[in-house]
Parts: sequence; structure tokens; C-alpha cells
Amino acid sequence: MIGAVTASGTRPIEPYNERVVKLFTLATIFWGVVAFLVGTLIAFQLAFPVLNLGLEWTTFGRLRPVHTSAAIFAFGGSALLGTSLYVVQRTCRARLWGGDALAEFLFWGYQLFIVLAASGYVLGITAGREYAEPEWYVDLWLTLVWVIYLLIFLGTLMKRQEPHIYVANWFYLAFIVTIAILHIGNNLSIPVSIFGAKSYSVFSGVQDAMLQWWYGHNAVGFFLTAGFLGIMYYFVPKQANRPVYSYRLSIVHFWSLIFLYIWAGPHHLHYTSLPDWTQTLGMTFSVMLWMPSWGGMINGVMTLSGAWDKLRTDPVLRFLVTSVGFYGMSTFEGPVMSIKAVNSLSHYTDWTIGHVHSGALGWVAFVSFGAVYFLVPVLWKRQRLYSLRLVEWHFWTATFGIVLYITSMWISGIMQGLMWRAYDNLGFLQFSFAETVAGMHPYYVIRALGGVLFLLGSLVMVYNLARTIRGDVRQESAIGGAAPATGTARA
Amino acid sequence: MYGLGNWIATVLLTAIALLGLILWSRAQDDAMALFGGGLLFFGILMVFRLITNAFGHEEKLS
Repeated sequence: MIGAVTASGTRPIEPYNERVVKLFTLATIFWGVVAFLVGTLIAFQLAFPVLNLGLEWTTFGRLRPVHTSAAIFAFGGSALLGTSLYVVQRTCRARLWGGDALAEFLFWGYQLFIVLAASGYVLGITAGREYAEPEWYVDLWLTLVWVIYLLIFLGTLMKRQEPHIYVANWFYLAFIVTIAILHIGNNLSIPVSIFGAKSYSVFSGVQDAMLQWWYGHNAVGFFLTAGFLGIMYYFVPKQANRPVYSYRLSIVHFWSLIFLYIWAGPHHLHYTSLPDWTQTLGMTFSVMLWMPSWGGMINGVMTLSGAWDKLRTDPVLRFLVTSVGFYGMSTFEGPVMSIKAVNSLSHYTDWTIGHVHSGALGWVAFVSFGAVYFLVPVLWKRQRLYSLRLVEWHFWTATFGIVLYITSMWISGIMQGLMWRAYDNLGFLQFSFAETVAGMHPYYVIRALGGVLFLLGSLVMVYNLARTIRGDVRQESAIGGAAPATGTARA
Repeated sequence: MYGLGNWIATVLLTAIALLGLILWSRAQDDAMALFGGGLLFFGILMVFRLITNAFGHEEKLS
């Protein structure tokens, strides 16, 4: 249940709580497959509407939030909670605060939140707020679970036996605190009845929209970016066996990112009734965000200085470094899309969907895969992964899937935007909406095939990790002509 | 943790389970019924875990 770990220094330390990290690791793998499966299904539904099956529970409208919540909160959330609890113990040399029962409450309480949210969506219960669809009762439950999470994390930091708080913990803490504020602010609502699911937001009109996108964009900024940067700052140096390229840059990265991100939300509401100055403010801060984002990317990539050769032989490291590359790419594309002139073309088109998925699949999922591949041999005390060849298969299958996905959405989105704004000689719209939808059909099919490849890659990962947990080791030739990487000296 | 903390956790989890029972019994829609039932079983199973963990701990000590 609990890993027996001894300190390298002179002081003996309590064994770490690895059980809860194991549970979150398994949940990450499980919810990942669920998220990719539902995502692939709804991608096919867009291409072939007959797959909605004519049932209210299986329509795109109900399954789409199941996919987004499964990807962000179930898969991404489990990866974040699991890795944060692992990293905070190792870097503080302290067992989790609050005991095993509190950690177990956190795990099962978070899983209950996921199940309640997903079942509500399928039943048609939704607050109608993007990425915050759960109704008031689920929001309250998540608030309780999140406070427990904050207490465990902060308590562990406070009882640390290391004088310094490692930078990954700063990013994790920013993620925990800011998500709490965003969650409460965005979900302020009044239930119709204490025994009924329906509630209404306390905000209305443009203020409601502003609150929604203050939350929505910062869910990207603090859930999908800050938290996963915590993963990057711990697992890239560990897997590369190199120190962080510049610790000073990591601190500058942290404070500039935290300060700038929170202002960028209004770029989701360009050309709406939101005051023009607010839109321009959102655009300006979004463009400024490019600098800290790339500072972090450079820091992650340059951590490989002196160890570039490992990319040839270690596919786990390849996952981690490619994720940082995708992080750089999507944090360049985001500021470009936030510029009002660009946004007038890109907004409401599939370009946005492609952008989101280059971040979600390329950055979030890849860095999570890297962390999971690192963690499983360590947590289950195995010499190494079952097969590095299978990791390589997973890497290339998933990468090819992402490339199909984002390139098809770029083409589809730009075509869609151009068709919407095309006028004929008499000033009439040149295309009907239905014509634009028909024009996008081939790209929807390509996107769905990209999803299939990504899903297949994740199934390869499940097989590989299951065999690793069983203790099997596949005899295989080394990748890149070198001896296979082992899990030694990781813990 | 295997002392006062366990008892406090048990009381809080029992309260959660009872709240779930009330919500389930008076639910006006399926979603609230699911939530109430979820809380009820969550509370009961977590208390059960606390009991088994405490017994396991005692066995380890003996």
C-alpha cells in the first residue's frame, strides 16, 4: 500500500503515500480511453449524423460535454491530481498531510464528481456553461473535494523537510487555488429547489458571458497549462536525467504566466456586445502571453541540453519533449487567433477546434502519457516498462492522428470562415450555411480517422502498462541501436 | 490518523450519507436522485473503508 522510501540524506522520512498516486494513475489511463472513445464517436457523428441513433441520450449535444469533461477533468484532472501528489511528496520529502483516509476521500470523491457530471449530461441536465456544464449540486460537491485537495497539498508543503519549494509545486499550487476561485465565481447560481437539479446563474447578459469566458479561458490557462507545466518541470528533468535548463527562467515563467493569463478571457467575445475596450484588453494580454509561454517551452526543451541523443533511444522522453513542442505551437497559434482581425475569420469555425486539440492532444495528453509511462514502473516497482517498442508505436500512431486532426481542421476552418464571408457581385452571401457544412464533410471524415489513430495508440498504451504492472518484460532489440532505457534511479 | 481523526471522518461521512438519503428520498428529478444515491453509497463505502483500514492497522501492530 505504501512505498518504503528512504531519504538520501541523514534524516529518516516517513514512507510516501503511493497508493493514492497509483489510483489516480489507473484513473488517468481509464478516463483517457473513455475520453478518446467518446471523442471519436462524436467526430463520426458530425460526419455521419445517423450515428446519433435517434436517441436523446446519444445525440452529439449530450455526448459532446461528456467528451470534453472526460478529457479535461477526468483524464487531465486525474493526471494532475496524481502527479501533484507524487511530486509534492518527493520534492518536499514528506508524506501527504491529513493521512490515508483524507487522500482516499480525495480520490473517490473526485471520481464521484466525474460520474455525477457525466450522468447528468447524458440525462440532459446541464448548466449550459461551456466546460462548466455540471449543475449546482455537482459544483458544490466538487468544491468540497477541491478544498480537501488544497488542504492536503498545502499541508504537505508546510510539513516539508526541504527548505526550498520546487518550482513544479508553485505551478500545481497556482492551478489548485485559481481553479477554486474560477469554479466558485463562474458557478454562482440559485437553485430552483433544493431537491431539484435546475438552477439559474446569478449573472445575466453580457456579464454572464464575460464570467463564462473569464472561467473558460482560465480553465485552459490554469487547469490545462499551469498544472501540466508542473508535470513538465518535474518529469522532463527526471526522464532526461538533467537539471532544469534555467531555474531563474522557470520563476520568471511562473509569475509572468500567472499575471497575464487571468486577463485574456475577453478574446473569446470579440465582436459581441462586450465593451470594445474589454475586447482589446483581452487581445493585448493574449498577445503578451506569447512571451512567458515560449519562455516555458524553451526552458522545457533546453533541459535536454547535453542529452539530445536520448530522444533517439527513449520514446518516453520523446513524448515529453514533443508535448513541449506542441505547447509552444499552440501558445503561438492562440495569441494569433486572439487578434481581432484574425478572429473575425477564425471565430466559430473549426480552426478553433483544431487549435484546442493541438493543445489538448499534443500538449496535455502527450505530457500525461510521458508522466504515466514514467510513473507506472516506479509505483509498481518494476525494472522497466514491458516494451519500449510499443511506446514508440503509441508515439507515432498518436502523432500521426494529431497531424490528421489539426491539419484537417485548419483547412476546414479557414474554408468555413472564407465561405461565410464571401459575397457575390450584388452583395448577397455567396454560400448558404448548408453549403458550408457540405464542403466540410471530407475534413470531418479525416478528423475522425485522426481520432481513431489517437484512440488506437492509447489502447497500445493500456496493453503495455497492463503487462508492465503484471511484471512482464518483453525481450526486444534496442531502439536507435542503444541499450533499452531502464527505470533505475527514478524514484 | 487511527484514533480521533478516524472518528471525526466517520461522523462527517455519516452526515454525507444521511444527506444523500434525504436528497434521494425527496428528489424531484432523476439527476437529483442519482446524486442523493451517489452520496449515500459514497458515505457508506468510505466508512466501511475506514473500518477495514483501522482493523488492518491494528492487525499490523499486534
